[in-house]
Amino acid sequence: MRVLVAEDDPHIAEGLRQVLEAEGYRVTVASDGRAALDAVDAVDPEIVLLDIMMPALNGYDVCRELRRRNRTMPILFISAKSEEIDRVLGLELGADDFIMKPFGIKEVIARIRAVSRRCLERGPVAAQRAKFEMRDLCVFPAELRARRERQVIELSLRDVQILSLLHRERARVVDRDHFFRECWGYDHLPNSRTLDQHISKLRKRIELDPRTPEIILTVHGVGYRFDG
Amino acid sequence: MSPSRLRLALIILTGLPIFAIGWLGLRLAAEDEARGQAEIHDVSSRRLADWSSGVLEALHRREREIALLVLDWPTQTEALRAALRRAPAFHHALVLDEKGGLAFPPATGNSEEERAFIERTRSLWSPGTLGSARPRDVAGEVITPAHLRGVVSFFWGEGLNILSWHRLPDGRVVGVELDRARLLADVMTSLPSTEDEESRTELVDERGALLYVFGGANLAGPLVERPLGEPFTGWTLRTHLPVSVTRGGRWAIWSTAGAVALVLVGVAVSVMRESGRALREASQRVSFVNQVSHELKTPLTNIRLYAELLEQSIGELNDEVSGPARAHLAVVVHESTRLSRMIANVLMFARSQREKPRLRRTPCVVDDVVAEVLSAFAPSFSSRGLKVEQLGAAPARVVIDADVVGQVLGNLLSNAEKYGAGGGVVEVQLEQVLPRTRIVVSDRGPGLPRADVERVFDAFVRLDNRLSEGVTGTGIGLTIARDLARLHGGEVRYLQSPSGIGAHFEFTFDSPPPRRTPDESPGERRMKVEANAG
Repeated sequence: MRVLVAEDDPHIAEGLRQVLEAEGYRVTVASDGRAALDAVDAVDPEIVLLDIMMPALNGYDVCRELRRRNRTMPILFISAKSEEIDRVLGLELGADDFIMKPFGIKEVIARIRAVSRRCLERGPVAAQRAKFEMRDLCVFPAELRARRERQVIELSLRDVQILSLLHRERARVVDRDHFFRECWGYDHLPNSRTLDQHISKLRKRIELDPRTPEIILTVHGVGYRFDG
Repeated sequence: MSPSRLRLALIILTGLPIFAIGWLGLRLAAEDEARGQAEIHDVSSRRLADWSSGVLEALHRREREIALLVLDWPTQTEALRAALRRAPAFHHALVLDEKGGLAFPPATGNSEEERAFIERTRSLWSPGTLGSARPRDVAGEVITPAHLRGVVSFFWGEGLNILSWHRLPDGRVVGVELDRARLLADVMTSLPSTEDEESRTELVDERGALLYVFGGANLAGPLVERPLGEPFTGWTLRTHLPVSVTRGGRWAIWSTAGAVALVLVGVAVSVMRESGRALREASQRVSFVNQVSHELKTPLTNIRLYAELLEQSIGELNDEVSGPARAHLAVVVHESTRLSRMIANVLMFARSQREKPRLRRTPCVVDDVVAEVLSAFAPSFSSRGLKVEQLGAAPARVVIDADVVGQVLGNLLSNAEKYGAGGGVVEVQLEQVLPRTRIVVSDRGPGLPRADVERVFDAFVRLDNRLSEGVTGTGIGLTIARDLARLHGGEVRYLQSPSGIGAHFEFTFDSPPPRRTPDESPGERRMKVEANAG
């Protein structure tokens, strides 16, 4: 999923980029309101994070302009001022959520996942919404969740992409390039440790015993496999 | 105190004394005036009484004159007529014989004047009237009783006439009519004639017609009257009092009240200006703190964000390398979270001084909010050797302001962290009976003395005893907690534990279940906090 981050503080923008990319989003950053409108035209993001106080055009104006252009993607406002958030809500700009500064990674992830779920549930591709099973684990891609009996496991967008790929290619080995192409994007060239660390963390959450995994099996020197 | 309340208080504090002084002044003035009027009334009454006795004295002189005249009263008709002619003050007289019959003027051979006299006095000399021991009515008026002499008044013609009668030693009764014009002249000479500019006195007859006036003042105050008494039946002396006798005193009272009012208004205005200045300064300070707090948010966001990113990166290294670094970083993350909470408190406090903060309710689960707050406190709790025990649950999906609930719980946990560290355990008890949720945060620290229970909720109160030693904070955490709980339809209360161990804060709030709207429109705000993310 493509996310546009419009934030004039370069460090916050970069931090958000890293957090969101780790989640599996493809992030574009704009440093002012006008650049944000241009970026919407250029990359057609599915989610927009808008800082309110920005040079050139403020967040309110960008939001109003996007809605005027019939852009219906979810918009999350970022603000340091409670009063500004009240104003966003009061203006009925069609904002979907807000993030108050100072925020932590968990809060950003929680809110972006919540918005993504709504996108995915509304999404046009039926396959994205269909649930699938991996042994005793039932994955709900559109919900960014998996369930094992009564246990609910929260998943990132990238987790869902990895599990979907393994499920689609079940009983076949998925090599690193394939993972990177599907789950990280063509322009992304992570080192091989990135994939291993991600799988390791994912196993800790979805495997009954992460030391003897049953869902994501390692094929040494090549990649990973799900036996179905 | 808000400016409008201060204004109201000053208006009351200024208005009440002014009103009281005015009221008191009016009462004193009224009393003073009444007293003055009463005194003037008394003086006037006494003067009228003196004058009326002067009038009566003049009449008595005339009576004595008649008594001398009738001492050698002739018996013959012509001799009587001659005697009357010699006494010009008396035109007419009558003589009754011993039996009460009219002996003079004679029934026949009398003049027209005598006939008219007989006619107008007929009712007086009817048997037993003059000289009788009993009074009786004559022409509807009272006749003064006496044995040997007396006066009777009667109305005829132009008004009052007076007849003086005397019983002679031979048994006859002589009645001498006082000439009306001479009688009036007698009355007038007995009354003062000076041109008194400060009063005006009138003598009026039985029909209210003015007989005599003395004194030139034109007064319109209350009337004082005194009837002259018998035999001047119906004649009255009357005088007007001045309208006001205490004007000078009233001016003094009003000018005193005015001066006091001016002083009070001056004091009120200066207090208002002083308080306005203090308020402006306070507002500038709040605005400055507000501004600074907001400015702190951007760097703080970066510190939190990058500390957490660093924490994630270190987490991916092996434990031997990352162990100490991770511990150091946990401090940075925790302290930046604490700083965020403090800034949120300061801003909330500053905001609540300006306006009532608004709630932003969204559907979520209280258990998740609690778990999130607890996870933020986990590192510092464990570094202080505090263990969290969670009892009960609040699993229902409810519509609440998760930030507000989180902030209140955070403040209560922060309090437990500061004061309950020695106890080893912080207990968080959850209970949900929709539409209410109850969270009790208990520590096993020293607790609060009963006397200080309410004080801890006052802003900037830090209990000045061993409890505060070595403890940091702004002193507004519990104030904010209570204010926010009330904003959320609930309360934060301190519960006295029966054992007396530890502090127990109960936080209750409104938590209604979401209304089911199957056709929720896409544009509608749908916000929820998903906890346990990542």
